[in-house]
Amino acid sequence: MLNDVRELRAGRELSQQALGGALGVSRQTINAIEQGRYDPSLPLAIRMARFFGRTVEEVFHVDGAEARCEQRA
Amino acid sequence: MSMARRRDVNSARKWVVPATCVLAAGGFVALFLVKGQVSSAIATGGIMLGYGIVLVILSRRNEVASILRNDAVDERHASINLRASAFALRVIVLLAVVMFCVQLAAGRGFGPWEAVCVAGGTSYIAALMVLSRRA
Repeated sequence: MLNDVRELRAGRELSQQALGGALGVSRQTINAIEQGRYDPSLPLAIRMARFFGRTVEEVFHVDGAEARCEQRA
Repeated sequence: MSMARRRDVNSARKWVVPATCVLAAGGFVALFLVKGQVSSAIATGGIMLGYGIVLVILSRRNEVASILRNDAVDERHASINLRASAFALRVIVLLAVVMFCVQLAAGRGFGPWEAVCVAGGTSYIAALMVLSRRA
């Protein structure tokens, strides 16, 4: 599943390790999610979205179309 | 479970496998020493201790070692562990069925392979029945 986790993480200048620690998952899991190799569970997806101040639909894209998160005004 | 509590549980849990390796090493050494097999005692004890030490060292840098050590297992690790266990189980089941057929063809009576097949089949069906009601 395509997602904007890498961009959102970079926007906050966080390492994968730091983001994983904040969400209670490993660095490898964050890496797998960013590369689209692993789809997080619903609770984890919601935690990630809330961490970035977004909705789940704004972070994860199920229709396969590439989307870039827009800077909030 | 809060993040702090989860970290405490993970911190304790990651020492269970190494501790088990130490206990198993002690058990194997004692077992073989009682039988007077010193070289076997050294070999098996060394293998178990070595496995535990390798897991402790590698788990910080290697994901497989981390999963084997049960170190900070998250949902993805749990999923990988489950799928790997299912794969290993299929290999064991295939082996048991093949060996049962070999034993049957050789005309031998009820033996361990039949027991494995019966135990595996009944436990799988029982688990399906329970999980289909609960899940």
